[in-house]
Amino acid sequence: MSQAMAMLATVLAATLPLSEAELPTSLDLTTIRGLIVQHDGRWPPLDTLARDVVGEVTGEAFHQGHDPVVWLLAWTFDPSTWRQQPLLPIRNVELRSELQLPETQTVFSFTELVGHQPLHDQIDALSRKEQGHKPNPLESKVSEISNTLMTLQGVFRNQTIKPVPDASNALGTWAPIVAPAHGESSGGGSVQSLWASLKEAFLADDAARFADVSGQLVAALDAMPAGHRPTRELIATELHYNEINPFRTAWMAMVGGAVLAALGMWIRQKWFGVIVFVGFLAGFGLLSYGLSLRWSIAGRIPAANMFESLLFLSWGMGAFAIVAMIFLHQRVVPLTASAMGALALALADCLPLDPFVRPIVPVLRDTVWMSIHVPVIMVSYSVLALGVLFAHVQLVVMAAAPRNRQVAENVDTLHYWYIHVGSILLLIGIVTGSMWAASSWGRYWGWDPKEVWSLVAFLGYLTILHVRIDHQRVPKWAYAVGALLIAALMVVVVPKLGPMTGSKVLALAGTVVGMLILVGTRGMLATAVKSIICFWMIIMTYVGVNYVLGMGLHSYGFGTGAMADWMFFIGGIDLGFIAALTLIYFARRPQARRASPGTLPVAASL
Amino acid sequence: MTPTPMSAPRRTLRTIGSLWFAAILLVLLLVGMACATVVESSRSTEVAQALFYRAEWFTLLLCLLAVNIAAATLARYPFAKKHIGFALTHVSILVILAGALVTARIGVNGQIGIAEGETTREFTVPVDVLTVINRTDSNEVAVELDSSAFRGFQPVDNPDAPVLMNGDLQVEVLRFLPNSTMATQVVDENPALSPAVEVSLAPAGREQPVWLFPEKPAMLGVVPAKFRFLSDSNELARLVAETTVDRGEADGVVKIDYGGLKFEFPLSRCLEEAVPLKDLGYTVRVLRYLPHANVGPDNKLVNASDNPINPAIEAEFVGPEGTERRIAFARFPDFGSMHKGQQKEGFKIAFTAPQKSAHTVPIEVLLGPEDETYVRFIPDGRRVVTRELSLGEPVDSPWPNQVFTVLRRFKHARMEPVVTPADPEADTRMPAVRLKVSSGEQSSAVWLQKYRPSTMTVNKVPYELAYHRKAIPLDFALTLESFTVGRYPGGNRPRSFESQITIDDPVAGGKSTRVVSMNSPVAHGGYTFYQQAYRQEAGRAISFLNVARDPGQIVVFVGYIGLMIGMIVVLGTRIVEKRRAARNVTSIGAVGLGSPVTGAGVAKLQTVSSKV
Repeated sequence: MSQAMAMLATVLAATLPLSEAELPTSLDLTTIRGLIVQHDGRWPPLDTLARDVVGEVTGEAFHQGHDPVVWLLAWTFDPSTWRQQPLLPIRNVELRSELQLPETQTVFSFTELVGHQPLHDQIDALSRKEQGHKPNPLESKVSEISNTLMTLQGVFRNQTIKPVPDASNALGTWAPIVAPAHGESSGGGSVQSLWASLKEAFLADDAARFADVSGQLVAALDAMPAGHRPTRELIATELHYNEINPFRTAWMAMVGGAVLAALGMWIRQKWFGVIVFVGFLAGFGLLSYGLSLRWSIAGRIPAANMFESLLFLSWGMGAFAIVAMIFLHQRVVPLTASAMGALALALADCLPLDPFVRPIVPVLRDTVWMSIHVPVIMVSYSVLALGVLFAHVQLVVMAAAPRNRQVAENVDTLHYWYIHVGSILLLIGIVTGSMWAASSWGRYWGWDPKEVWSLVAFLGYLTILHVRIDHQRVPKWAYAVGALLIAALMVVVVPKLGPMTGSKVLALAGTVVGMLILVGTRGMLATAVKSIICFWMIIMTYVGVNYVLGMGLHSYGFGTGAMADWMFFIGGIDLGFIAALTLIYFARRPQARRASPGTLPVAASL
Repeated sequence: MTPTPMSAPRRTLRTIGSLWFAAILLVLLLVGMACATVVESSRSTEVAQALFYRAEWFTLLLCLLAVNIAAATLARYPFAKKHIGFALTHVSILVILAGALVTARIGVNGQIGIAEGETTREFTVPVDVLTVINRTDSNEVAVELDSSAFRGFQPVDNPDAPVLMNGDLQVEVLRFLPNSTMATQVVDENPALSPAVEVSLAPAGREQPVWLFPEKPAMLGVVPAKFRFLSDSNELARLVAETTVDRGEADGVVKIDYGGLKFEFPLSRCLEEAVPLKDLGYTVRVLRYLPHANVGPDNKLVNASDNPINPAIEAEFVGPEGTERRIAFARFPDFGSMHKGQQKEGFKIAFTAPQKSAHTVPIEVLLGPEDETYVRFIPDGRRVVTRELSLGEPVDSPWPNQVFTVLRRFKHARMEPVVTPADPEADTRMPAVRLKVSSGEQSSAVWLQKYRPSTMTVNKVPYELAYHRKAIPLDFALTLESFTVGRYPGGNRPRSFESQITIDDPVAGGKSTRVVSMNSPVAHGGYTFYQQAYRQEAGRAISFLNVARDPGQIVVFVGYIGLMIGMIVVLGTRIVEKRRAARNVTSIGAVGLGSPVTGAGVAKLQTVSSKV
């Protein structure tokens, strides 16, 4: 009998907390949100810490619609309940089966995962791997889960919220508020007792008391001596930045601007042109405002990682559009700038990139070059991206209306200006990068893959710019020399690529075709195709070097991911798009005139 | 549109400087570089550098490009106003290429790897050198191995390398191996007396050769063996005559407990006879002593070696009730009571193992002054069985199925490294060179691996040979006082890498302490030191500094600035042309397409204006 009772008690103990797992709903978090804590090398408000931690654990900062601050405080104040609650999503089916987790369950509790032997074994095996070992996808997922569990463990043990300053050392470690030991009396106003009261008020969902105590706590902590503490204005800025989420707002505004601009292509009225311009400015202004907020929060230019570079990519499109509108009175300029800007920002917002402000690695610190090099490079990419959009438009126009050369020529001219300006900016970007390398590493050029690919793309654009203005009669021997050199290069390069596989043969064949197109073709269609090829070289420089080649000196803050697959997937779609439109154009074009002398036969037909 | 007649040299310049040629060169460079990054990713940076960026064909392409650009520029001289941008751009590219040439030829880019507390007066550059130092007069001679063979990835016979002369010594490179592994072989060509024997202890017909050197015990399978060379025949005779060795080893002790009555007997006695247990009517005899007891294939205890790894005895008790066998382990005294439940209640047996003297080795090979060779087997560390040996003829050994053979006998043995190509290709390559070292009539060939200096004596002169990176001396001493990694607060993220160095330069006024950190290099004595990397090793940090002196850099930067301005001027020229064209077009009444300019008109007029 007593045994049965004991068993029941155990069952109850196990089930009870489940029903208690409720979050307070009535609390005013305004004050506690601004609690200054130390987190990951910075001193953000509690709000930022909460977004970071809750986002890492649950995959979304506003998990189940609750404020991240509520989540973080709940886990900190009531760990025994939340250890049992399903919080950690493992959505990948293959990963679950690899870890021998239940097939139908997607969200797991801390206790479940920590007690799961197969996961334990995997983490254990991973920790024994030598340093510098390149993890496979499973291993990187396991290490991700392991890190998340560590983070959550830290929260449950109250080691994450660190608001107690180091009194003297500006770079000292801040401490969490540790509850006073039993029997130890603490003054009524001490942070420990305030923390304990905050906990009680939080767990009791006592709004009045919570507001009162959090005010007292923040004031008490702000009164403590600190070696370094950000100003209240800066904290307010960061809270404001977190609240308005400027980049999401900006890309949505840009989508609106793009829709207006598209309408503007039909409604050719001056007054509507003003509306289009205002719509465009709204998105661009929001983005600029967000960038300036982020700049002051980070205390450095926000140009240190993939996320921040995408912001600049989008900003560059807007900035160039303003310049272009002055020089080229084309309705299509604000349309492309809004659309592509929105795309770049939406990518930054939606891709699994780390949006948090983090401290930067030593090589990026204490140098003005980052503030020059990165924005210039990103603006050049922006302009070239707008150029490649025109190249696509060109293909569509030529395939749709092969007889109407006027529209095509108009787009071609625009495209030319864009890639001309883009190439100059790219050159300035490469040059400033080279100067930075000289000042940081002692050499201005080191054949680093990022350097090489940027030069490859630049040379590609140079061929476009040169071949376009060239109308010189080509001597016959040039074909022979060209063919010989290309053959010689293949002879030199091919044996060095190692054993030939199907994909390598395909890539080489593609390269040869690309070479022939770059050198041997002319005309508007050819220019458009070349521009697309060159832009893929830019994409290779921007993401491919990090994700496909996965190496080099520029791999700051990049993770692994399905990025390379996406790149090839979109590249394949683009290739199909080009091929289809080219074929349509050839099928529908007016009877070709005789080839003008001195151009390749293929060139003449384009 | 009719081209104006051109002079013949100008026509040639036009041809060499044609855009088609430029486009072909650009595309070739572009494809080469793209492939290089793939090779770098799949193999290594070193391979990519050697096969692409620093290869002759790549340099040739760059030279052709320079010629093409120069020709194109010259062909348009003297420059019209609209060609200012063109000229500036193209001359700037030539300046950049010239600067790069200066960097490649006279620029220095090296490295210092220095541990905390150490001082250096030199740095290394990525140029391989072969160095020979005469140890007696410290005369050092070095030659650079700078032909492409030494940067390649194929073995090359007689690579193009200068002959190195140090006094009478002449060193030539016979072969280059890009990736090697090293083993050693023993050769009989030591000028000094250095005897060694190659022996085998193995089943007949399956020799397992092992070299034995004096005072260096080696293992013959599991049996330790040693080799002694005796120049004194009398001493040899004495050792050969010995039948037992007694070097103070302690006998084992067999301990028996019978209901509180305790007996202790020497192990050697129990091995020889059945020892009566006073007047209990029992005797005990040790049937076997197993220094290294092991469970054999049919679950029986067998001896695995003569090393006292797991000493055990098998004892036999004989009494009125019959006989009984027992096993006792020196290291596991409770084993019997744990595993044999059915054993006689009364008897407990334990034993301590005999202690061999450290000097006793079960196999001793003796070599006399007249090449007399003997082997002394001392399997139990006490009794000696001596056999005379002749080359290649096996003798029986005390170990079952094992015969002992002396295979080779060298009086002038020397360990010689043998280098073979590594397969598969190792991650970190270990290149090696085969050298012909000659002095007068004497000549020999040796292998030398990179970063592994070796010594050799030629005509009684000791030399040190080394194959390594070239070291360039500094006019001052550089000491790494300490290296620190600054961390961001509250985490582990590195914030700074700082090397505190002291530069001691008597010319520049003595010692000065400086800090080299990321993005904050230190310049001294014509060189600039950059923080590059660090490594923790054995509790102290090793900091790697990049050392650079590059007169080409300023030239390249001038070219950069010219190129940037030039391209902007070209853009400006194009815009002006476009504006002018637009005015013309509007005046003839063409209508734009939502723009004040017709694309067609611009394109046409551009054609005219850009025609050069």
